[in-house]
Amino acid sequence: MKKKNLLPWTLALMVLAASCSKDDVNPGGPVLSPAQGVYVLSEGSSNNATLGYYSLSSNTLTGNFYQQQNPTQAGLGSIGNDMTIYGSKLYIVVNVSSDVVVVNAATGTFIKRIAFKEGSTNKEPRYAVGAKGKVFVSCYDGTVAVIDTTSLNIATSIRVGTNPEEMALSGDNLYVANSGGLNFPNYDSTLSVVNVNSLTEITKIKVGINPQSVTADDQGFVYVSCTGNYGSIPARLVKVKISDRSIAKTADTAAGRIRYYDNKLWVTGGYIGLPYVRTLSTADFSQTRANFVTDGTAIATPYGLDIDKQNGDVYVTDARDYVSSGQLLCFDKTGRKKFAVNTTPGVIPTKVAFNR
Amino acid sequence: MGPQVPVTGFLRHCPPKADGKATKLKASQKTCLHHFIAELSGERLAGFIRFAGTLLLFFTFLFLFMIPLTRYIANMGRMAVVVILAGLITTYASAQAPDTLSPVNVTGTVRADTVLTTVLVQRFDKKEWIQFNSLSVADVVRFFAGTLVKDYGGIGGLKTVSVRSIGASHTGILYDGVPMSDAQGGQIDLGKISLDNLREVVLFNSQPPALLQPARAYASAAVLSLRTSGDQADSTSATAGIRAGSWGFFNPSLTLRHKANKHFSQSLNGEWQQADGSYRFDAYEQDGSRAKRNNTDIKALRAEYDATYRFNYTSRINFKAYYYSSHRGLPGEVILYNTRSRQRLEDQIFFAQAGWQKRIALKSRMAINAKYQYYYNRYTDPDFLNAQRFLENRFFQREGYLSAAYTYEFNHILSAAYASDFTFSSLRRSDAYTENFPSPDRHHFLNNATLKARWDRLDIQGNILHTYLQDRVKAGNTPRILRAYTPAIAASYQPVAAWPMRVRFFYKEIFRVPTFNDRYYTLVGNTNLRPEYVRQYNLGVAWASRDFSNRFTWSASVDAYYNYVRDKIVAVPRQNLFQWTMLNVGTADIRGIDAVLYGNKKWNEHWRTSVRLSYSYQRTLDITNPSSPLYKTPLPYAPAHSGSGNVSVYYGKYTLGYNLLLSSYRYRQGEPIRENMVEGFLIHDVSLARTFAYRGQQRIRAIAEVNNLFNTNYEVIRYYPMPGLQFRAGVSVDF
Repeated sequence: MKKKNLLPWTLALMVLAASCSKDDVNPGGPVLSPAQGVYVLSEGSSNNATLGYYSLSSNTLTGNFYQQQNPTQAGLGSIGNDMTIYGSKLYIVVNVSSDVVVVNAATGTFIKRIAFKEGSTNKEPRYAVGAKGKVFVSCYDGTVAVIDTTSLNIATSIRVGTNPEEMALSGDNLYVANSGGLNFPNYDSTLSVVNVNSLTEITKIKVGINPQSVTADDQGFVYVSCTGNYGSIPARLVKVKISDRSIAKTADTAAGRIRYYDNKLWVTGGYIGLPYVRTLSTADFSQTRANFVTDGTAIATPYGLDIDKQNGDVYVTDARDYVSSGQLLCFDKTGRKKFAVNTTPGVIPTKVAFNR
Repeated sequence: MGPQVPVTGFLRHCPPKADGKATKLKASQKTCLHHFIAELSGERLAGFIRFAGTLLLFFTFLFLFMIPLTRYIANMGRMAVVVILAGLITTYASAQAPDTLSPVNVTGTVRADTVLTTVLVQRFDKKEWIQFNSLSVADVVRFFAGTLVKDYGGIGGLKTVSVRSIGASHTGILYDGVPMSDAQGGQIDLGKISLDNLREVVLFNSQPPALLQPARAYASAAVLSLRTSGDQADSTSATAGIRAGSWGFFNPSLTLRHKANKHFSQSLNGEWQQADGSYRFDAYEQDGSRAKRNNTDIKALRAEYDATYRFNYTSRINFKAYYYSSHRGLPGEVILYNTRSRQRLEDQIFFAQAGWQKRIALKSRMAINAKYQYYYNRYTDPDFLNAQRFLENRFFQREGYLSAAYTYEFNHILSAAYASDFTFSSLRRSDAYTENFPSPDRHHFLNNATLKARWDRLDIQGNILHTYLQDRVKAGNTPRILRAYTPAIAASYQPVAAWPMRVRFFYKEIFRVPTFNDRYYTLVGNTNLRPEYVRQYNLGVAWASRDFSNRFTWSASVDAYYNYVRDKIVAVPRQNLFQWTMLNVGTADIRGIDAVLYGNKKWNEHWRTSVRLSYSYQRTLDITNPSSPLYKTPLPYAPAHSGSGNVSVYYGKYTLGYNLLLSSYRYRQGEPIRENMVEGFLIHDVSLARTFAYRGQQRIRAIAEVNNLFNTNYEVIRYYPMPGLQFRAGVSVDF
């Protein structure tokens, strides 16, 4: 039933994808075409990382899209942590299975499973960002692995800080949050600056205890949320000036995921913060909206946060109780709900990727 | 029958009132109080008490059970099945039971003592479980009705028991009458308790109906009582045994017994277990391919020393020292596309316990128990991606325990008991995470008063338990002191004097206290946790019978229950899945039926068969949050139907055992959707044993076992595949 609905857009997208030149994403300010649909990745509890697809034309969600498109595959694996579309491919980071699954971004069909191993040890990949014909994957073993998007192999691994999490691209540099989360109680507190041309770590910038989420604006700043140590050291938000790598501003506020869009920071509360998506001023971190939702829609556990930069739609995933299927909610930029759909069977939906 | 299994069934009703016992007791009264109470027990007062008791029972029943019961009938209609079944049994029995069958006769091998009780009591002894292809207590407990043994697979895999879906932390364990505990994790791994030195495993729903027992025996929702053979040295002798089997299983054991004189005896039992355990299973990644379990090896040593001193018939002292040490791999769950597994666990348990039981006077008894326990565990993960690329957790637990219990029989109807327990436990760690670790000390006081009345055909027992629990910490927040009173009441009634049948009821309210891990686990623990409460209601009927020649004995029981669990302590992830915290979220509504049928038929002097069947139906509902997708869905891993069968055929020196275990499908945590389904299973085991003569007696015993006969690929816990077809053989010799 759902397969039938998907056919028209699938065909349309294949034509569209074929007409585009490969791997030509310009991070500076691309002219984006409207999204046809969104992929939603759920972490899962164990061995049930789930990729769903929401068609914006038929307004239906295919909950287990990956399984439907790839019936001979056993499943994505354990803990789907992040994904990114780069070129014509979707790269899905499966943390505990320790690999990156590459599928066709238009059809969801399986292309390759790239094992993330260092010798026989798992690298435990976390987040992925595409740039310069490569996909950069932060790994808990203290590296950023570089996937060659032609051969779909790990070309090299760049050593960064301990247990890197999110990354943000600004110019030719990748800013990597080194959490040191597994090195408790000695958390890391740095942001690695990795050059995407030389594939080396240029420097580290000290930002604050346990950095997790990073986002870059288009005015030469990078923002980092530091979680603190869950105790004596509180969470803080840090603004870094790229030109001289100095700290431009800090504020003691708990932020889970942070995204930059429309001259504002969009922020989830994370576990230690409030269960709202707030917007903050990039200048002084003052709160411009305590809850960006304006129509009273409640979100039990805002978890993932992604913004469609083409039209300003804000996608929030609701992890609910972390054991039952979550929810994908879409709001327009004024905070009015456009749709909400259960991600069944996806548990803990965490990431949205736009299929244009 | 173990001495701790109380004779509360109609066995006790055998002595007629005029057998002189009561008169003798009267004659022995020495104090005014005794006389006063003896006078109270006059015919009129007895009648009044009986009337009041009946009234009490009626109202208790009405208030505590009928309300949920009527709701149950209205909602589900399933209780009707029990009622009809009970009716059918009654009708059948009334048609069949000969009037000449006197309860007095029922004293033979039929287990009236464990059947016609106020609570469901299920029991296996060594002779039985030898046919069960069993190694650890977990392998025996899984055959009991209403139990769910969470088995993570293999010899070294964790095995815990949850009774009637209340949760494994609610099952108390008594080892020779003294509580075993793990204040850190709260759940005892039954896989670590070997059957080699045990003679009896008994599961009590609610609590054991005995009077002379520690207060801790009242402090759980169900009690698993394990009795060792340690005090059974009635001669100076030895037994040596050896077993070997699939996947490198090797298990020698030795028992030495010494009886010095009529007062003193001692015994020493030791056992070594090892296995590589790397069994094969159907791979999850690809249909038809097979994968192998990794990192499943185990080496374990256990030694137990027992000494018993009997002063005379009224007083005795038992002493036990227990040591267990193991090194094992923790294979963990199977992770798709990732076979790496290198986590290890080492642990050492030592405890010494002593008990003194004394009959102070004809009507009063006391028991004093003391215990010291030391528990060390070390967990390592050489793949952990911290700076050292190595994770090590080392924990030490110490526990001191003191218990005194006293019982007094006012007359042949009324008796009372008082028990007082004090437990001191502490948790320390010595690894990279000692800084800011709370290093908790726990003072746990329990006081329990029980009142028991028994007439010929009616038993009523009620108790009230007081808990005082205080933790002291060296860092972080100090939890609030916990003070609580929790009651329990149980009754059984024999509707027709001539029938060996009892209708029974119990109600119990109890909680489990947050464990050290719940409260203090680094970054995860929550010092604000409240205890996890459970209310249990049970209504059942039991029958125990045999024919005159003692050739055919049988018993049957059906119990319907309703459990309400609130403030369940649940681990909830924080921002990411690497940060969890413990919260009191969870309310569960559990309703079910447990049925047990046992029959033993001696066909002639060569042939004997025994059959035991159990069946459990349950309907579990998560009623935590009406707005959650999980609202009114089944609890994780609770099957609707489960059951077991044990058939033993004895022919001269041969014994053939056949065992069956079944479970309907279940769901892992999450919604009841296909993706979360764990398929049901039906597992068959067979064994053949025979004895051989040595120096003129049957002293050699050999056994061959085939487990999982049809090589069924199954899971108890999702992604923990269970072993397939396996063989074991063993021989033991008595010297």
